[in-house]
Amino acid sequence: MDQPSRIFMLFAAASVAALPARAEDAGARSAGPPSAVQGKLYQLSGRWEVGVAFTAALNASLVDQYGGLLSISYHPNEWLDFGVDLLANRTSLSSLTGQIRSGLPARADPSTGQHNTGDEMEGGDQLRGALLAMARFAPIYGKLSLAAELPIHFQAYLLAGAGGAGFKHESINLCGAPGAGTCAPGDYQNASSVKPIGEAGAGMRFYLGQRWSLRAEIRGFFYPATVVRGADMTQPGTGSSARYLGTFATLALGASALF
Amino acid sequence: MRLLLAALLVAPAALAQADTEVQRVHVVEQRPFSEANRFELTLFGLGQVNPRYTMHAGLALELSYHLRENFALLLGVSYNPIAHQSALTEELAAKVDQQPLAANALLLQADALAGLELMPIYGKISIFDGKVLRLGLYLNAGLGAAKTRLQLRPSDAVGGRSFGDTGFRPEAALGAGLRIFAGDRVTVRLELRDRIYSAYVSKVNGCTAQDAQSIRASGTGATGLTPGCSASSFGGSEEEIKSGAGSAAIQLGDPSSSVINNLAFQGGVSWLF
Repeated sequence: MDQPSRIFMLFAAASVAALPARAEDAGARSAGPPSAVQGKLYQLSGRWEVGVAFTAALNASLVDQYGGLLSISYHPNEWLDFGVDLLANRTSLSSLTGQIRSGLPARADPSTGQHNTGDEMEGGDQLRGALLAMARFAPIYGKLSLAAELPIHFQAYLLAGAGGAGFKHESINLCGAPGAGTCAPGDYQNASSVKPIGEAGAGMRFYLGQRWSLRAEIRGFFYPATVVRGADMTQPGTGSSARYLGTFATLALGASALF
Repeated sequence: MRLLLAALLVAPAALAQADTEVQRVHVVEQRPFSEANRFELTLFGLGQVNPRYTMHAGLALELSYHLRENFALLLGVSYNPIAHQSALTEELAAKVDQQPLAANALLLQADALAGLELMPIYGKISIFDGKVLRLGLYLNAGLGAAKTRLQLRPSDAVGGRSFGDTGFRPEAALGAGLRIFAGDRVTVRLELRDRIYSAYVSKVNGCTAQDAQSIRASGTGATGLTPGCSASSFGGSEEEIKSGAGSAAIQLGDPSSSVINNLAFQGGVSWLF
């Protein structure tokens, strides 16, 4: 039986010892030093953003409001953007309003015929549409890890804006038809108006890539609202007007594209 | 033997080659600290965010023990010094002579809960590209008891609001929130918690609807009351007693039950120890 030479044995031992060491080197080169992961993966500076969102009023007990929001803004830097918001709503009175109207007290005392006086209920305004100048401030950038394999980059922001809005006001309890009888559903006092409006809110942007992102926001709208006090319930147009701060909280869910 | 030597030579090389080709490296940054096996004491401020018939605001204290980084046991109590009917409810009474069912307007004065918390999602945030903070998204659930009450007089009544005790009710809670680690000992928490409690109203201050009617008619002179029912529980003066009992009689006259979702936003600061 042939015996391997001593030189061959030494060469073989050296090769066996050296190869794993080379493999380790290769592995180390593949990993490299840990890369810096703190920087922003998605940059906004100098880009335009167009967003659309579905909106729903959250705290309006007496009216229902669903609609759409179109936002166009420009990002001069990573933390700030300016633009316009265009809001359009489909509005109606809520089912609670129907219940309230079905149990309204008589407009005049049935035994004496004396006219009752009363105040109009607040919260009967319906926000039909609005155009606002808006600024967004986004100081927080972050990353979430879902199941350790799916990093989701996000940005949290605050926003504020001001502009004008179109309202439809339909009184909850004041009838637009004179008389002491029960008010028919279409006869309640109503009016349309344009008023100044402000907004403030907070939201989050979840990046899907360099262009697309999903947005979730809570926006509060506030405006000067009026109600009638001390009205003769049988005579439309009576009583005095009183002011209060009308508010709507709105949830907006949508998507944005960056250009 | 030569074949064996050749195999010894080739096999590690082949393995090394295969390893290099399929290698996938996860750079895992070591956490600066862990919350496992530590207690966390949190003080929250809370406010109801679905105030149709009721309005609540108050404080909550929660003690958690983190069995693991992502799993904790918790005990919590909350107290709402502001727990009264909403502006809409008072407006309904004042302007259109209506009121919600008593069960729908049942107020949550305080509660105690025991539960579990799961924090499955971790992340990081940086503020103005500066300091990097860890954060965790968590879910929690708990069971406990709620101390409830019913408003008897509105805010514009003589003497202001008054309330009647409606006892304890079983309660469950579900929450989702965000924990931002400001250091190894301090965290900031933001949470949305739904407190769900049963609202069956049959007695106010231990008095039934019949008791309340008797007290409304006779004040402190009412007789034949249910054991545990006292006229003086409705107020200090005869007028307050009669008006409070009158309101209770009206609200108890139409028996009602419901399950109330009291959805509150909570923001707080924690201390880990």
